[in-house]
Amino acid sequence: MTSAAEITELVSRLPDPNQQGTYADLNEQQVETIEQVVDRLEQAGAAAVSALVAMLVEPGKGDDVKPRFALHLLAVRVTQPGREQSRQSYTEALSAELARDRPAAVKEFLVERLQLAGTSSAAEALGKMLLEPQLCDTAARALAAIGDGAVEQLLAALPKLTGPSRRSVLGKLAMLRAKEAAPVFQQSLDDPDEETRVAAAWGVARLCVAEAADKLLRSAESRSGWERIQQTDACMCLAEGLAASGKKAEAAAIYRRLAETRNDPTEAYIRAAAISALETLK
Amino acid sequence: MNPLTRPTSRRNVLKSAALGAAVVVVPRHVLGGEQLPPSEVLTAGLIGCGGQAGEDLNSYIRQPGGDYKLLAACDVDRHRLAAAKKKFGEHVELYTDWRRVIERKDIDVVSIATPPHWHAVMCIAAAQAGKDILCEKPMTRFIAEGRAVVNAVKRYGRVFQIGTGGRFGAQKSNTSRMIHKIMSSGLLKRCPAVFIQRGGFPVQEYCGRVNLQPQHIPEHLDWDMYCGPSPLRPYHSHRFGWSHRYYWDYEGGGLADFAQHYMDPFQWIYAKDYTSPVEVEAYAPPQHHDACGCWAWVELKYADGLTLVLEGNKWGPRYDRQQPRHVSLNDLSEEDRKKVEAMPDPEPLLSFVEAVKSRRAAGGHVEAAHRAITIAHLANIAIRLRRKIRYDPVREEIVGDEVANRLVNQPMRDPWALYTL
Repeated sequence: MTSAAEITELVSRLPDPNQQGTYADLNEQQVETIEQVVDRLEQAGAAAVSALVAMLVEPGKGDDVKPRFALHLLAVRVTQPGREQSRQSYTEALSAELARDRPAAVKEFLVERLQLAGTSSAAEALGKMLLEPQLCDTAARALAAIGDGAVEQLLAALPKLTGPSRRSVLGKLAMLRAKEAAPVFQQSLDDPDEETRVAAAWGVARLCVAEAADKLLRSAESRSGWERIQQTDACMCLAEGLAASGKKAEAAAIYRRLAETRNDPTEAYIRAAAISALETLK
Repeated sequence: MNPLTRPTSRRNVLKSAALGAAVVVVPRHVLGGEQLPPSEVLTAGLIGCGGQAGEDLNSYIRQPGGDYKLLAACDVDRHRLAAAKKKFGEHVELYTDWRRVIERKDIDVVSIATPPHWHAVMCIAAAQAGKDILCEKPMTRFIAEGRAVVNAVKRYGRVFQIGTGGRFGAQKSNTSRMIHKIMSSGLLKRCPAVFIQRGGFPVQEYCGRVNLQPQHIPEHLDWDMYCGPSPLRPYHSHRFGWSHRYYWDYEGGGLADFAQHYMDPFQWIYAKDYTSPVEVEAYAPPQHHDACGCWAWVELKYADGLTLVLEGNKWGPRYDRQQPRHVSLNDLSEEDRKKVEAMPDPEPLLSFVEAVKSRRAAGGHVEAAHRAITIAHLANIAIRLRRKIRYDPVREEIVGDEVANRLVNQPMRDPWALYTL
């Protein structure tokens, strides 16, 4: 067992930034010191993680350059091949720290380390962060990066969320092609928020929901400006996805509808793209 | 009213010395297709009014003999916008939200000169909106962005030119053309070449600061919009302007900033516009999570044996595993040598203007640009994760390293995303 005092002493051995505040002047000896410190921190396991997290402060409230650097160095170290046990320990320790009462800016840093190094066992702790408005999007990004276990957490949080948090989670579900979210995507095409409707359109496209094609096309036709551009592209992508999965008739129907409805000269390029894609289906 | 015969107002007249006469600027769409208007003056929108503002428009439209009229300029910094108005003229409409530029129907070409963390999202949106695209280098911040841009550009048949032109010079060299022919002939089964880009990268100069403390956000700056798809960090002036290059959130240090310049001609010469290295190994010290750091060299190997080395030449040891070596006709059998010598020269690369006119790919086309900056991204991933990586250039994934793939495709901050397929 390594004490917090020992971790503090270890971290203090990390090189100081130079006068400009950079690590541009690291020499071989300093690199060697960094490696030795990380070795020791890795050996100390969860105790090191807890001690390092305890040294973190909100930006502007003190100097925590070294413990932050150390936590990141550990994240990279534990993802090296053959270090699965260290990685699991790191994930669990950081996840446990997320449950403690800490400033959002500190938790954000921990979530970002999990985004890089976390395993699926971080999913539950990150799922809880989805409910904190300041951390929701950061946690959703981490879950999307981790992948395993993410969809369950995002879906579980969704009914409890509103506004930007809901939109963020919806967007990450679209990114992950979460089949379970298909009904939510379709419902959200009518959401009052423009960007939520765009995220929902993309969910429909990425999941290749053939049954939602008509609703998506009508939605795109009813919009203008930025949203019309985005939703129209979602229609094109839905058709591409359907064609790639062998549903050529459904894809052709979308392309034909786009070719028929984009009559304004300013949308000639869409008509041309739809007709060109239609040709490739023959 | 026929737009070609409508009265000419002050507003839509461009006094062009090059053309020697007043011409009516008609956006392409008014003609109902992709043809250039008789004036051959493209209407343009500029996103990002920093140091590179307008440079690409001049380099890739005016210098090859075309012309443009700037209709819109956008920046998150209102001081820069005011300067842009002075520089480009009173007729230019100013915006702080780039989406308003994209949705304008009277703009043919969008020139994107923001920091790189915005490039992909903007390029995709420009393609979706039917614009042709000039994109400053580096094209992207991570690999998946590039593929998404390629898909969007191809989907809508847009013309794309990256903001570097090394390959245009390379195609004029006899040696480069011969290597290009040898490599693209497919006759060289195993490539013995070792291409070393020795130096030319800012290394220490582009290291970020690790101890930034939050500062007050200037009132003239929309910091949230500046951060865009990257994490919303506390404001510090060093994250903004030129020095954004020193932080992973916005670019990727000197390697990302300069690799597109060097890899653009390399890829053309060695006929690698449609593939990427399969093995990447770096020599570098541990990297900070936020600030870019030093590196010594990166060795990248292609499936055919070609070795590419990027050497920083400023920090750490020199690369000494191999010596530089080109390929030549001597690497071929007598029979194959004759075949290569009989090959016609590659078709001249098209300038952006020629590409827009002919609706063909520009010399610095989207796939080439994506593959060129992929080299820098792979190098930076190996540097950041401190391990050798293997890459599948078809699937565009790192093989057997799930964590490394988290750097290949990074989720964006809401509401921005790479939704495209």
